[in-house]
Amino acid sequence: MKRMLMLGLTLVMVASLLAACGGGNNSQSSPANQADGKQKKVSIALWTLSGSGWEWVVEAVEQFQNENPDIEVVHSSYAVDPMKENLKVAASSKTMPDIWFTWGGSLGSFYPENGLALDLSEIAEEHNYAEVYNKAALDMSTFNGKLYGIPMRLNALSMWYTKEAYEATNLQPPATFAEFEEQLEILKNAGYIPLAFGSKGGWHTMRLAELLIEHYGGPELHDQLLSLSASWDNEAVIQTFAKLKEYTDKEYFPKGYVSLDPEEAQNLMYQKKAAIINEGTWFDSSIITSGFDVNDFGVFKFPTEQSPVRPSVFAEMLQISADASPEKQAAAIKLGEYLTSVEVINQFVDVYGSPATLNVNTSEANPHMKEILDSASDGAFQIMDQALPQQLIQKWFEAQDRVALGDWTPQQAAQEMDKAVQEYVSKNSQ
Amino acid sequence: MELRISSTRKVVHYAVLIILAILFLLPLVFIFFTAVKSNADLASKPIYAFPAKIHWENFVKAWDQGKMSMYMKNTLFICLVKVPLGILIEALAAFALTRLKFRWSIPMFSFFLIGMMIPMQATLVPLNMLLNAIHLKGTYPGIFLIYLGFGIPFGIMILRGFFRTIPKELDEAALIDGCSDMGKFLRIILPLSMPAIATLIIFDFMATWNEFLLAQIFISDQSMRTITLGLLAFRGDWSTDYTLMSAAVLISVLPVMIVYLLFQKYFVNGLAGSVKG
Repeated sequence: MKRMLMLGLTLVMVASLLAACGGGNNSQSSPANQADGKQKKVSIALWTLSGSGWEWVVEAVEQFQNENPDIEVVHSSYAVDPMKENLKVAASSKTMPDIWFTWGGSLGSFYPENGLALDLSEIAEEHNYAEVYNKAALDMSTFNGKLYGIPMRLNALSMWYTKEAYEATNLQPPATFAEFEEQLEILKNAGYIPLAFGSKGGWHTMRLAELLIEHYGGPELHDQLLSLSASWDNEAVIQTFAKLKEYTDKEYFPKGYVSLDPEEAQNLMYQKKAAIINEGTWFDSSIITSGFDVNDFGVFKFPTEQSPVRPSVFAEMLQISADASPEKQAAAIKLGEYLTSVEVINQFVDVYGSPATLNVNTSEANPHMKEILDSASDGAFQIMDQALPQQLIQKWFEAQDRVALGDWTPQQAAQEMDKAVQEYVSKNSQ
Repeated sequence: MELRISSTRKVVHYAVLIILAILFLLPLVFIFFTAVKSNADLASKPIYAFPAKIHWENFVKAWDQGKMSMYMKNTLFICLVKVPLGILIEALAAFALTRLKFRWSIPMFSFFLIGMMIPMQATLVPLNMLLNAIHLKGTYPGIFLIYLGFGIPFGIMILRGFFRTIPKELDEAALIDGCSDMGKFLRIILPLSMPAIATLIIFDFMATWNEFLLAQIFISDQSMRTITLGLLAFRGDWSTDYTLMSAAVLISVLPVMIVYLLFQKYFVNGLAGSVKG
């Protein structure tokens, strides 16, 4: 028996050695331009997200290659966190792909700030991007006055409510902030969790906090805060923290919401235990994927009582490598424009998300998307976790949690936030 | 009286073991419940609730939609190459460290151990640059090199410990019979070290099968992706298909369980031997 085992083990070892020496059968090491010798192909590496909602890219890339036989696209896709991790490693080791997906704001600005992304301003002018893409999406892909990304999606956020809770309590979507607060109390007394927020990760509750800042401070101050040109130790920020604490104490949030996963907060909406949540243009498809009916939910603008009533928005884009050869850059731009073209979006409109491209069809599978996108047409502000530098947004998340847990008073939280902002500004102005 | 103490002790002993077993099995039960629920059932009821209807088809969907066969094939290929190759290298190194008398054996052993102290995360950037420079990024040889490098220190530590428990007299007898060093290694040390090797096979197979961090950085080609990366396909930007993901998780643990069951009878002996002396 032992002899047989030894023999087996030895055979496997020998086979392993041979296999390892032989290399991978899927090796990418052979460049496309050496493939056939007939036609010189440009090979470009594309990185996008993966998973549900991104399957269409594979088909679109295949179509693109058929239409452009001189371009080979090596497509790699990653889930959200691996994508961020891979981009970080690639940026640090100067091995960026030729074209990659990224988010706007401080996540996307990292690459132009470090000279890794190509300035597309001239291309934008030549190809008339102003008439192709939504202005807000172009603005959010612009850093220091230069365009560094081909806008892909523009997501807007809104308040979503369960029709069952509103019908059971005879309520209509609120028109004023006072009415909104009255409704929270009514919903609570009727046995619903008024606000389905999960603070694990910080960003979900942040969506409510930024609306409160907009309400208390107004658009001008809000924009100044996000651009770090106003003090964060001000009345609007203190009132925001105070309101979060008040809602926590009144149990408007789910029990233990500080450590609750946002997806669990969504489940409370599906279970009809909660009444209101803040989600975006993508929530229709989340509801459908989870096996529920989108018609059981409605949306309303958060009554900030400001003019205009601005929702939070954020952009997603495709950036091109500044280090790639001019041929690869041209091919990557062609691919980026193809993936954001009206034809491709109309073909995949039900799964594309909310496109940044103008004049595209609307999806019947996402009945609330148009209403939410329209709510941003008068103006919008960039979502806080993309507008603020990453270390400052982490400070904000910490402040939110500490206020909720009673570790910091609202005044202390505003002071701590301001201190962090000042430190950041002085460090980066040196 | 003594009998009563002994049976009371036994009862307590078993009670503790049963409680521990339940604690360990509970997450698996919840994963199973999640795997056989519909998405609506999962979202509308607590995680510990029994499924309203058993959806066995989730396993088929997970297998097809999640391309599980491709991911399992890729992972199995990596494991079947990396694990035996790694153990061969580790055994040769451990043999040299314990049986071939040379001056720097202790410092060299310490050098190998340093490999265990370097966090993987700290090596991602330099390894990425290195593999890119030698055109091995995204290739199987590149993956094998990295996996072997990270696995070797632990394997050497286990095998060196075990080899030291094998009496030197056996070496002397082999020498008298005219056995070479390689003969000693193949005919005496390796056969006697089966418990330690079986232990390593289990550990190494599990570690390679479950490896995520290195795979997510160094395997960019979709068709080469491993099972841990494949499981993430059920996660989109805004939502996660937990039912199919749980079904896929249950499918993905089967090979590890099979390997464990095959080699588990050697497992305890191997570990005990490796820490002696």
